[in-house]
Amino acid sequence: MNIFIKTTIVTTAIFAIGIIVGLWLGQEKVSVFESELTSLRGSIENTELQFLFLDVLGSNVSCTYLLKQANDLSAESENLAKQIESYETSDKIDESSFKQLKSSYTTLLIKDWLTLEKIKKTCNATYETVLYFYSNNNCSRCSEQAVVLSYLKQKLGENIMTFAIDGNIELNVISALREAYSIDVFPTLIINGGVHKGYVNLSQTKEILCDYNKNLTICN
Amino acid sequence: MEFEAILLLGMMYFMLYCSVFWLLVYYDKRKVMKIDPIPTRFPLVSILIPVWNAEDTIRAAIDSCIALDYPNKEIIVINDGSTDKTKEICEEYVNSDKITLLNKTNGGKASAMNFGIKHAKGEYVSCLDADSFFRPNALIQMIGYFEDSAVGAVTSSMKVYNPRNWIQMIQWVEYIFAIYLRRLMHFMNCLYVIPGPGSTYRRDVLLELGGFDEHSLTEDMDIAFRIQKAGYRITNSINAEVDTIAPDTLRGLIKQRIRWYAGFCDNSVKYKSFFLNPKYGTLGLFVLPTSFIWVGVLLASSITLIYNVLEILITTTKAYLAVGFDLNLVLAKISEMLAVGPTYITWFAVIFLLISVLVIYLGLKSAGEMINFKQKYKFYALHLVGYTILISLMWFFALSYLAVRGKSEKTWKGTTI
Repeated sequence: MNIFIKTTIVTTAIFAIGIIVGLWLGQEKVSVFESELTSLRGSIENTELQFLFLDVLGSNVSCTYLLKQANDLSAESENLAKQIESYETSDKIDESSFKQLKSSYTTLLIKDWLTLEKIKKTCNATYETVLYFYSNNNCSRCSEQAVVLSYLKQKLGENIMTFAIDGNIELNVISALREAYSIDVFPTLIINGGVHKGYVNLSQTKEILCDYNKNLTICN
Repeated sequence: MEFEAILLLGMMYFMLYCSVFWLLVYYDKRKVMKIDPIPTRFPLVSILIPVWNAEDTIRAAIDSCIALDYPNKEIIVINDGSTDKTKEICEEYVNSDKITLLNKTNGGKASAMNFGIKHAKGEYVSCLDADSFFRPNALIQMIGYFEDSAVGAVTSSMKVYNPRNWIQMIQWVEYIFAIYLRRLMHFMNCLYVIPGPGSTYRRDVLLELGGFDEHSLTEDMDIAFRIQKAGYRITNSINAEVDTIAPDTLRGLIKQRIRWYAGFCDNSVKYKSFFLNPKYGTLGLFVLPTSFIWVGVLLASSITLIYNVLEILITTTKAYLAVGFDLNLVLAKISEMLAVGPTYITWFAVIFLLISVLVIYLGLKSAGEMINFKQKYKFYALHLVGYTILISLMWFFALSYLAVRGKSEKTWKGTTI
C-alpha cells in the first residue's frame, strides 16, 4: 500500500480517537455539572419553601435554621461557580452544551442571590451580598476584581456571599438586572443593593463593606 | 466550534501526519537503516577544504583527512584570502607533501569550491568545511553509493563536536535528529541539502551543472536542487560520520540560521517548479510544501506560548498588585485549574510526548549515540525547553532579513566559510 494512504489511515485513526475522547470528556464534565446544578436547584427550592413558611405562615422554622441553610447554599453555589469558571476557560470541542449549562446555572445563581437577600432582610442577617457582573470580552480589570472578591471571601467566610454573573449572557433576567441597575460597564458590583461601576479596589471594597457592617474582621 | 479550536486541530493533524509518515518510513526501512553498500573499487577522491581565516581548526580538519582510511585520495586546501595564520599552517603540510594548497583572493565558499574543482583530479570530489573533521571510515562508507550511476552526491552524518554550552547542546540534539531524518529522506529520495561538512559529489555531475552558484546564500542547497533537477539521486550514509563545530554564541547561531533559512526561502522561489510537482515525488509533493507549513506551525506555536506565558505573568502581577501575595489564593487557583481534568488537548499532548520520546530513541539509535544518553540527558532537557522558541527566533530574524534585504545585496561574501 502507498505510504501516503497508510499515513492517512493511521493519522486519521489517532486523530479521531482524540476527538472522540475530547467529546466524551466534555460530555462527562457537563453531566457532572448538570447533576450538581440539579442538587443546587433542589437546595434553593427547599430554602425558598422554608422561607415561605416563615414569611407567610409564621411557622416554627427559625431564622437560625434559615441562616444555616443560606450558608450551605452559598458554599454549594460558590463551589460550583469555581468549577464552571475554570471549565469555561479550558479547551472544549463542544461549546454548545456548555453554553446551555451556563444559562441554567446563571438563572439559578440569581435565584440564590434573591433568596439570600430575602433571608437577610427578614432575619436581620449579618452577611453582606455582592453581585459581581463580569465579562469575558473587553474587560481588562475583571480578573483583578475577581481576585479582590476571592481574597475577601477567604478573609470573611460566611460574612460575605459573592455571586459572579456573566453580564453578556443572553437571558431575560440578566437584561432586566442590567436595566434595573443601569449596568453598562464591567466590572460592576452590587453590594447590598448599592451599585459600584468599574473596578473597585481592595481598600475601596473594604470601605464599602465596613460602612454596612463595622464588626467585620477586615474593618479593624 | 471556534475558529481558534479548528486551527489548533488542523495544526495537530498536520503535525501528527508528518510524524506518522516518517515513523512508517522508519518501520519499513528499519532493517537497512545502518547498511551502506560495500565498494568494489576505490577510485581517486579529491578532498577539497575551502578555508577562510580558520587558524584554530584548519590543522585538525587536514589531519582528519590524512587519517581517513580510504586508500586513494588527494587533499586540496583552497585558501580563500585568509588574513590570519591559516596560510602558514597549510604551508607546513605542503612542505611535507601531504596536501596541495591553492591560494586565491577572497570570494566566498562557493567560489573557493569551484576553484578547487577545476584543479581536482579525482573521479569524486569530497568537501570538508574548515571547522569540521572526518571520522576515519567516513569516505569508505560513502563511496559505495556511487557504484549506482544515478547517484550524483552522498551526504554524511554530522555531529556537533564537543558541545560545551547550552547553545551547542541544543544543536547537538538537533543534529542527532537530523541524522535520523536525513537517512529517512534518503530512502524517500527527497534530500534537498548537501551539507558542507563531508559530503561527496560525482565530479562530472558538478562540472555538468557548472559548479556551485557563487551568488547563493546556501550553495549547498542550490546544488542539491540542481542535482535533483538533472535527474540524479542524492543519498546519505548514516555511518559516514563527520564532526563539526557548531556556533557557540547566540550571535553566531543567528548569523548561521539567517543564512540557512533565508537561503531556503531564496531557493524555494528559485526552484518553485519543484513544489507540488509529481516529477519530484516525495520531495515535490510532500517535503517541500510541508516545510513551509512547519515554519508557520513553529512560529504560531512560539507566539502562542509567549502569549500564554505573558498572560499568566500579567494576571499574576495584577493579582499581586490587587491583594498582595496570598499563598491560599494561589493554591486555590491551582486546585481550580487542576479540577478541570483532562481535555482532548491532554490526549494529543500524550500522543506527541510519546512520539517525541520514540523519535529521540530512534534518533539516538540511528546515530549510534544510545550509549551516551545518560551523560547527555540534560542536552535533551535543554532541547525540549528551548528549541522551539530558539528556532522560531531564528526564523523571525531570517524573515526580517529577507524583508529588509536590498536587491543588490545577495551574497554573503567571506562569511560562509
